[in-house]
Amino acid sequence: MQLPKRSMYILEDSALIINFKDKKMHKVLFISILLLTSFCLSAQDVVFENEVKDYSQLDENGPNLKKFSHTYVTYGLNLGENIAGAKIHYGSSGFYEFGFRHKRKFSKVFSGGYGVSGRFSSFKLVQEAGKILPDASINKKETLSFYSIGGELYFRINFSKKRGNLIGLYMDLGGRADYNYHMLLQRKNKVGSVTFKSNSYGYDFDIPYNFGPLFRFGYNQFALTANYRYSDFFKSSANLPELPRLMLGIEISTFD
Amino acid sequence: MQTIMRKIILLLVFFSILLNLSAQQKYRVYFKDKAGVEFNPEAYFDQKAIDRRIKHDVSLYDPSDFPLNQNYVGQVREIADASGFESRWFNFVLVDVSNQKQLDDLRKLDCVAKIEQSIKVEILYTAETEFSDEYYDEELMKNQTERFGGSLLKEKELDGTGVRIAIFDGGFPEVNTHPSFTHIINQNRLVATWDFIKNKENVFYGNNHGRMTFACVGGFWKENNIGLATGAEYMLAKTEIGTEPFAEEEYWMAAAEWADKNGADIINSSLGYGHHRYFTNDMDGKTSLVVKAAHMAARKGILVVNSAGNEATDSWETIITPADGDSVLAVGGIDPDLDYHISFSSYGPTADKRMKPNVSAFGHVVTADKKGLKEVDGTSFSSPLTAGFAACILQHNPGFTNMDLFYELEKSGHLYPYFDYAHGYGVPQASYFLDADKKPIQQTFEFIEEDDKLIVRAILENYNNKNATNSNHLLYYNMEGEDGILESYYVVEVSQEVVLEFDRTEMDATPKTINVHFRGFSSHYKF
Repeated sequence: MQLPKRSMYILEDSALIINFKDKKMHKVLFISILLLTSFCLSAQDVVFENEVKDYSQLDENGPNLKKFSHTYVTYGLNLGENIAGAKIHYGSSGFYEFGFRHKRKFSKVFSGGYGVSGRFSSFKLVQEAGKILPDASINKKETLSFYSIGGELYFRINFSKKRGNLIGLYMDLGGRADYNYHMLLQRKNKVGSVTFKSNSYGYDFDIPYNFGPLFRFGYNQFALTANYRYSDFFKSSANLPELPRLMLGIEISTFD
Repeated sequence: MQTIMRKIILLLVFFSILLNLSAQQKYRVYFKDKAGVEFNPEAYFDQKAIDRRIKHDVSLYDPSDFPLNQNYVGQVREIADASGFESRWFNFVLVDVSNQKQLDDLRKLDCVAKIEQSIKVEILYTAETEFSDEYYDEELMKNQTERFGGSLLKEKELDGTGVRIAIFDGGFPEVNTHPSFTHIINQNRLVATWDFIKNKENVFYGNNHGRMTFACVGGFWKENNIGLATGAEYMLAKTEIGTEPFAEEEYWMAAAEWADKNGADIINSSLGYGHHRYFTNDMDGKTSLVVKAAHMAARKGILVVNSAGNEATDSWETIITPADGDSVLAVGGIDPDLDYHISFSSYGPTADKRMKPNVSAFGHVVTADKKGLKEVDGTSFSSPLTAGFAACILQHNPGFTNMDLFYELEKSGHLYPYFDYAHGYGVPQASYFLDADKKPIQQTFEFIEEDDKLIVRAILENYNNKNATNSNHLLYYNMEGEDGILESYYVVEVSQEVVLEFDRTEMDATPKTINVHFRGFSSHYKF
């Protein structure tokens, strides 16, 4: 099938009498043709078109279809047991995560998949006597941050058996591994009216790889997430107390 | 530390399972029969409902109108936590159940035929473009009724007088005080209201959506019509929770039974249920609970008018139920400035390939705001404009059955007999019903076979001034397959004689029909 041709125009019964030897007439004719052509090119438009879809056939991709992918963002808090020498301020120690997740539907109830994400996690260290991590110095403020990329595998149990094309109420169980590509120590001190800030990195006492279980409980775009770090942040040879291992967050997925 | 983690995970798992299992769920418990019940139609029905049944040759003793066997209902109530709406039409009672044992016990009852879980679904929301109370486009307000031929209706003094319209929505705040409805309130033409969520009469709260749709049926503002049926009687049903996006189809069903009992001639429902509860292949006019209720309402002689949906730009794209019902007049939206499909209006056909929407109306309108007026978008407003028009036509043709009215509204569409899955048959026209000296339709284009080409040539001197709108330069065409189902459709802005050109050798390979409509004239060519 062809769409309408837009450059065709049949001039019939023209009332113009053209003297082809007249140069002025040449110009008039040229401009007239140019104007006419440009008018025809722009005038006859297909303003609306639609190919008919077969709505009895379901797509493969969708929140409750065979495959589904989406991005998400999580904000949460670093929690868990504070260990002497490496205590953190709860509430101000948190993390951000940005990721992509893929899901395969196995049945109405069960599905599973994988995800990749980037994470920034910071621990505001309590400055008190007996502090060990990363050293015994007491500062006005001190933050240890980790930049990581990670991957996850998860298994999903869905509780909303009768639902349309949406995620519904679900619970995820799985595991997660991270590679910490950067550890940053930030310190802030004040002497008199002068504030000193320092950023330090390149330490060799951290273990770049972490892993642990994950848990999510969600409804459509929203989820409560929990990650637990089984592995240690620091090498045993460094003799440093570990930072809290639990991360609780709120996740918002970006899809309709 | 690991012990703490284990405890937390176990706690979360426990809570999640507990949340799911212990949450009360609603179930529809269907009974096998209505044995031994008594029914007095004169006592149950409003006189208008009886008149409608007589007109439509529907028995006054149709078993679907009989009450439920209260002995059966009592047995169910003893087991369930609570019971709610009783559907006479479908012979079920809605109950709250909180555990599997209750369900098992209900299934063991001899009187129970089946049990279905009731699922929460989402209301159709409309995108709103709000303006200040003082500003609205007067020309738009005039055109939203004039597109149907509103002045012709006015000339014939047709305003829906004597017709009863039920409107289902999420609430009707300020309707009892807003100047747009004064003529209805003062003349006691608001004959019934019911809030199906709270089971009480007051419906003047909740979602603004109801106020806006109601105004598009019969609203009036400073000597100007917002909708066309300013003389009709009204029933308002609050069937949606309003402040939440979730609702239940049973409320729609309950309202339909209520509308029938109280003598409604027309139901306008600017509500629809889509991806939260269903898949596109469920839009077949048979699957959803709400479409079954809409069919039953049609069987009782009520014209059900429903918005097609605002899903065209979403992944869903197609109509939402109950607009998929074959006896439901599904109304799509057109752009008031362009006079063809407005971007968000859902596309047909149904999953079983029936034409939808049936007709169209403006999808951008002026309607009642909290105090004044405002402009809004949505097929939620195309539907009530059409329902108001239908009421005027029913007033003019009181002998029409609901399905006569349905088919005549389709035939009056400005594109009829041409149709496509975005516009249906187009905007219904008052001139079809009222114009006594109709001029013969002149041919406005021709098919010319030229070598291997088929040319569609416009005959620009012939002008069927059927609709004095800017649509006179629009040519509609579609490609129809051998099975009668459209494959594609187009709207072309015409400015030259040769409008379309097709390669016949290419088209002959896969036989098709091209249907064309231009300036009131439709024709087709078979390859």
